[in-house]
Amino acid sequence: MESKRRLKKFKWFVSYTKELNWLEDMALSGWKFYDIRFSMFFYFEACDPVRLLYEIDRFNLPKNPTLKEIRYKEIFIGVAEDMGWSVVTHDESQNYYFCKEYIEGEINELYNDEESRDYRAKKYQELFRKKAEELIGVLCLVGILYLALGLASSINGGRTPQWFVIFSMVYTPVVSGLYFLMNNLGKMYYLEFIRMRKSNSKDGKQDIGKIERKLIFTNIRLKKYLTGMALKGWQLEDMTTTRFFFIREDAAGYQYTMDSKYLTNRRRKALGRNKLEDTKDWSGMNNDWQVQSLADAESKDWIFVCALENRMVIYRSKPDAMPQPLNEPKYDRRPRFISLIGEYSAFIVLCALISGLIGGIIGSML
Amino acid sequence: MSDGLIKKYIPMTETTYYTLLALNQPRHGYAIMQFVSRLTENRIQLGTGTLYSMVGRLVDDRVIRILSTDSGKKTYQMTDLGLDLLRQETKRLDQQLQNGIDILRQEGVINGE
Repeated sequence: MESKRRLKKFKWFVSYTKELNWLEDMALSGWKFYDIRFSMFFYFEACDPVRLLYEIDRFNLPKNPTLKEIRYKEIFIGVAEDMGWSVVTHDESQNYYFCKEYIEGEINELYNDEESRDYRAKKYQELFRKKAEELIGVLCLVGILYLALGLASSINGGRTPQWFVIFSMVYTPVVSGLYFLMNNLGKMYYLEFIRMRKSNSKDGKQDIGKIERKLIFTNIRLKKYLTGMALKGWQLEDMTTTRFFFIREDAAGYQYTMDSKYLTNRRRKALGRNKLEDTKDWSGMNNDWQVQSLADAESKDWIFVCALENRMVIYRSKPDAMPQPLNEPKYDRRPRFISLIGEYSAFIVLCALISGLIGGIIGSML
Repeated sequence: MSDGLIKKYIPMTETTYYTLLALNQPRHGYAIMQFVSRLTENRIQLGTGTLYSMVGRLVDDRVIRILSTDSGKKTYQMTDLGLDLLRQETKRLDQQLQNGIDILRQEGVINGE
């Protein structure tokens, strides 16, 4: 028997959706995925062009598993096989690749409702949360070692070894950076998995939307950006300070507006009402203003889209509608510094500046 | 039967209820899905993710058990405990339905037969 033609490809994906889409495209062009190494080397064998579906899942077996957790994987694979899926392979971090031929009218996804999608998404979020936690542990260990070495050498009247100082200087920012990366990846994968292969996607392919990174300083720019995206068929679903998550929807003219605590209090003041203020709220966690903001916005026919933590709320109009503006246009052009980074962060930055100044003055006097 | 189990399963989710109905007879995963789809005229489509997490939970709580693994395929069937839960839930649903019909009939929202 002639051995099958094989192909090895090097590719690296951050997004699982893109990776799985690519595998599906490869099968359509006659290459069937059969193995993966180091999440980068993909192995294919020649096949007749076929529409295959790929899914990824994992089992997060803890170090001390219960009976239920041990059974979990066996039952899952059994049920998946019953439903027409087969395990292709798994990678070094124990992600399992499932494959099934696309059959019209069948359930062509591993997780086909919101609840179960959320379940898988949480597994990935949990994985990265744990990784981040481990990094913090390592970071603390190096910190303690550093202190211990410093103490030991000061007792001996010597100095901390040079190599250790340099090691810590490199190590600390790298591990801290990794920690934030892991946390963010966890959040990103969560969002990716809950949106994966939503049944409303038109060609049956995975259509989860997209993430854009942008730093926008004024409300008017943000409004223009979001309205522009809506005209191209991308609806804002959620956002962080610099990242915008869009999902595909029919293109239409949507107006967007933003609200913040400051603007909500401005409106209250204009009506002769007292300011919403919480003197016990040191870290800016009280979000009473959002209740007021929502009531104001809904009375003017704005629809809630998302809230950027406790700093800003984004509203959208109904398609092709022109609701009354929520706030006076004069606020549109002002920099939205506070709502961008939050009052708490602004406070910390201010404190750092002041203490830096005091430290500098004392330092120069000495 | 433990109170914890009653609290956990009554009231029962619709998917659990239909899965238990399907497992009145030994069935494997795909057969459960087909049975439920047919019975609900495709209103409930149990996917792999839903089915397996439910099956895992039900096996763990001994509401259903794994029957045969000889052909490599696992077949599941409801236990006596499962049957008892199903009976209690059906009784509860019957009361719920009756209450609904009575009130809506009084209000004239639905017609009496």
